[in-house]
Amino acid sequence: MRKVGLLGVLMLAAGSTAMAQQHTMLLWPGGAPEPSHLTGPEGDITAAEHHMVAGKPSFRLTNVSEPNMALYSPLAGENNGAAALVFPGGGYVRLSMELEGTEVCQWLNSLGMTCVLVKYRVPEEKHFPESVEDMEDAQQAMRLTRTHAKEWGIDPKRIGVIGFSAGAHLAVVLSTHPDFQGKNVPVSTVDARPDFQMVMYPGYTSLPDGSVPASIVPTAAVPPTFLVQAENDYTARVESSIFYFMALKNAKVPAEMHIYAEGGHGFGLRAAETPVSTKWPGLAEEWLHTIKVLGAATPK
Amino acid sequence: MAQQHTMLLWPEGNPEPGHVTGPESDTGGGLVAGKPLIRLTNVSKPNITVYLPPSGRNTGAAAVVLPGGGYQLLALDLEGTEICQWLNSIGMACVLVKYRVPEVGHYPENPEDLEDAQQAMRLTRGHAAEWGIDPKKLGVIGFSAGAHLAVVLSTHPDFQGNNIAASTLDPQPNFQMVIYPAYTSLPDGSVPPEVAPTSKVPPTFLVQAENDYGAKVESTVFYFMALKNAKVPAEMHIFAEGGHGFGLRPTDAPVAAKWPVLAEEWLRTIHILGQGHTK
Repeated sequence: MRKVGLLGVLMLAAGSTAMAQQHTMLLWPGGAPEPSHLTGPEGDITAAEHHMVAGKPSFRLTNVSEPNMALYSPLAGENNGAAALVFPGGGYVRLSMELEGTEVCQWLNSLGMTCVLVKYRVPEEKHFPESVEDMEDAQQAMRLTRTHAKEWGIDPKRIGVIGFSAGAHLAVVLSTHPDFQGKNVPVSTVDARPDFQMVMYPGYTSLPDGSVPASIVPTAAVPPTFLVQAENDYTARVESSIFYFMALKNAKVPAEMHIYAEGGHGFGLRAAETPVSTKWPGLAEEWLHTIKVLGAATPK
Repeated sequence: MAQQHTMLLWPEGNPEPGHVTGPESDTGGGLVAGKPLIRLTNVSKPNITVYLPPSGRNTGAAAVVLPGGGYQLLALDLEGTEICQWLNSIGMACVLVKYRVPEVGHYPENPEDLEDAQQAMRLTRGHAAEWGIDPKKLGVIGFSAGAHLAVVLSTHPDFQGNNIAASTLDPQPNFQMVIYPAYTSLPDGSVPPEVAPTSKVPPTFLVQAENDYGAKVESTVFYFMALKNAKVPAEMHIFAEGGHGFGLRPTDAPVAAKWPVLAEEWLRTIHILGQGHTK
């Protein structure tokens, strides 16, 4: 088992390409709201050869008891003020920190957007609403980002979220319950609601009857939403996107959805034989213009 | 555009007596992306016009094009000749179908639309060698009501019109592109019986805008779910904005400029176009 702490994550990120300014911040410097039930050290649970995506190993972190966020700012002069929090997937038991984390930040930075990669607590016993750690960490990351918006060159009204698989579920949970108040979390006046959400091959968002679970039923307050999934996603099932899209549509939330015939699950942005992983970022960028998160005036 | 050739679907007269009294004419009206469009009605002599790609660029793939217009008229340039230009540009032959409109009802109440669509497929397959078309790479693309007709055609390859001579030529498309379809959803989340797919429906590509108040986005979403449940490989792109009837004309919303690129990619996914094909 490889021991990877904060330094390891930074090195992974730095090693992948010349990303711009990085800064890491604990979500709960005074200790997490709930006592940790973890016994083992934080680390990569999977031998590289056991989880390859597009011919490359996919780093899968678990035993995260000290959640944090890492700030990746775009190059100076390219910053357009828009930002997104990134929630990697991993079934709420691990985090796909590169495939659905640092590699996503590289892409966001290339668009002139700020990226905040969230290392939320895993494994969880369950997930929201039964367990609340995921939601608390997501809210806290959004609040810390809004609090530091000016310092980091971010427009606090153009901070969205992008999540993958279980992280996509967490994005939806965050968007649906901006007013959730964790028991042991100090009350905050900083808004935890994202201004847009990108929901990539989501899990846990459909029920067999064509509806969505009660915990994610959207209201009109849910922000504009972008969904991507493959029809042959046999891990999370394409119904997750489609039923959630219909719930958004019925709640009058502007939404866009791209369902590719092929691609499976967990493709991230890595080029593969199927076009989805190289094509969805272009569609997402176009959509960010449609909803005017991109193309707006740069903040002073 | 390159070589064109027009051919009547029923040179010896339509299977059904015509009820159209006025002359074929363009009713006009409306603008799409600031440009007028043809809205042809009183079509009593249905035909096909064949547009072949430039020689040297022909991939052998082809599509029959079914314009929309609520089975009352045909958007013959927006959802017809402009589509053929695009298909030719990617090395595909285009067969533009001028089917009979206005119709009283549509399939299954009125079979004229399906008869015309089947006949267009059969004429194309019958002339495949002559026109440089691979008869196994012949699909259909339809818009709005024409998208419904594409689906009807794909779903009922064995339909036999009453007054039509039996043919051994296969009318089944090898793929279908269903663009902002109409009449393909029911309020309960299902699809009408005449479009309920079997696993024999070919691979399908769907495009619609969420804010399509002409045909409603459910038309695409419910039909996609029916395809998925019938194990038909399908791809679906729902853009947030774009409305209805955009064709390929670029507007403020990106859908009209983006969907042809997505469609071309998908044609490679299903091996109608080769991976090595470049513009």
